Amino acid sequence: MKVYSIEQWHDGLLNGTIDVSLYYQQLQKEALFQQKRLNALTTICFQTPPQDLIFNSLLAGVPYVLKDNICTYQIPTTASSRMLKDFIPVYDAHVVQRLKQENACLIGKASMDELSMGSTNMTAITGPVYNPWDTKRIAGGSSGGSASLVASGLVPFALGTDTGDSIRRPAGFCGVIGMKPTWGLISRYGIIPYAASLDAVGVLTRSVQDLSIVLEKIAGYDFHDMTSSRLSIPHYRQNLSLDISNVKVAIIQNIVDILEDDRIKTLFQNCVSLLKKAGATVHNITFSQTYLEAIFPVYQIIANSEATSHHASLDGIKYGFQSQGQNLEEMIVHTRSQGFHPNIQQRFILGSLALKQENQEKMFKKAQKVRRLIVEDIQKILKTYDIVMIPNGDGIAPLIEEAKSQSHTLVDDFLIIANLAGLPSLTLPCGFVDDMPVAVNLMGRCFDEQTVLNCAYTLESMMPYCRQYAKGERNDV
Amino acid sequence: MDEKELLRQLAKDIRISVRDEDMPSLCQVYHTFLEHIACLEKIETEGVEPLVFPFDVEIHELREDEVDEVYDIDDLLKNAKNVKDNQILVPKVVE
Repeated sequence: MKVYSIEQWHDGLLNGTIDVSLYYQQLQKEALFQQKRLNALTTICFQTPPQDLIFNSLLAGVPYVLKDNICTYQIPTTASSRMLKDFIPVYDAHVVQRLKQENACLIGKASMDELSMGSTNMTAITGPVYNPWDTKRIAGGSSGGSASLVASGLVPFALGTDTGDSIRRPAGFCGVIGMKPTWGLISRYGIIPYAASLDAVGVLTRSVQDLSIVLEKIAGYDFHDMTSSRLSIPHYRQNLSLDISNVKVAIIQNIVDILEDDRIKTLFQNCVSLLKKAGATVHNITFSQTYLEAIFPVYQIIANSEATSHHASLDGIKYGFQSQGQNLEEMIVHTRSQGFHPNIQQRFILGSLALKQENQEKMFKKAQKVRRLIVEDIQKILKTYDIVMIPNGDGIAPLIEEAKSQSHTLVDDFLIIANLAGLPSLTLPCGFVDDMPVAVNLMGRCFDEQTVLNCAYTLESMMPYCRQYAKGERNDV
Repeated sequence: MDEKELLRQLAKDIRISVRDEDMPSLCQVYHTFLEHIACLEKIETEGVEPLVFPFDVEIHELREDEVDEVYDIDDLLKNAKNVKDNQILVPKVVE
């Protein structure tokens, strides 16, 4: 099966070189092959394009997948949790409505860490998702299914969600581009939440151009989401530019210094050199070490607390998994105790601790106050600089057996700052170490997605990783 | 109240029953959580307002109280495990 970018697909439709019906037959076979290899789909649904498909949009007839916490009318939406394993939404998420208007074709729902709470994609009820570049390794999470399927070449784009680094981490591990846009740029109506003050819907693709196309189509105000922005959406793709001579980039030196692998450091420094070569002004700066060390604690306390509150409604009565009990109370306790994985239960219990009236000031509100200090610090940097660039992590995708014991590093933690401050943040492949992808991350000012995209577009044009994929061999499974 | 008792009570409050085999791991994450709290305690926040959302956003928007979307009752009830006469059945609440 040939692998197309969105623009190549559209051109192929217009000039008649793509037989849509034949392509979708091949795509179905390919989906089954990749499912055996990667275990990245929770549902295969194949909404094949109609015979009289109108090529009214660049996305017309384009196959895509959605992370399985994005509600799809009459199509199971499980959030990879036992609690929602047979949940059938009664409406489409706003982003799904938008993609339907564009005649894009949903071919499946992608696996994720249970309720988005994880960074390995090993906690899904359907089992771990594998990395297309080496199936002995994890895809990363929580949007691991989305990243893995885009990286396999099955679909040119997927949607994911990002609360801590859940699009950018798997994108980096799988060698694709992943963007968490500004908080509020894309409606979250119909998204099963993790933590509302941090959650964002985002896009995964194999090229910056494709990302710009999809982002433009799904961004914008939605009255169903009170936090969605009313700002008008620029023509991101049309405005893509290789001229970044006016762009000022800050490199967080104390993050780069932490990197243990010199090969990753070298690939990062190459990106710095490329930005300078393209005319950008690049300065090394230092981020407060105290705030750097506080990022993860702040995130954990806020995310756990918000998650506890959001998921209080999951009781098995109106929808989802249901256990038995002598009375209503017992039934709910059994349902929640058996429906959530113990790791998820732990998060709720800690969230409950932080939200207790007697603890709120010391725990939850304290975390919100430190969040303000961290956000003010990064905003101060972004008053001087248009872009902050950091490595996307401290290593390649770990082997499955190593992933459970791996802890987060301060490099990983810095990605979370984009969620605390609501910043647009894009992860771009920048090379390989031990035949596995490595990536760089670019953050920008709120609602200035264009500068982030332009920097990524420029870097992409100077490196050979645009549109890369790892399809696998037939004897792989 | 000892640590395990506290954690069981917190779990009970949110309608979760912790299995004995899960308690060691829960205690471990609880200790990490306390380290997180201690880390934040070192940061002076006197006079700092909590930041609820990433930036200021107007979230209290009123609209006319008009029906704008109606879901199909059969669709809605399809997700419930026990339904009778368009009502969701639950175990008896009052004995």
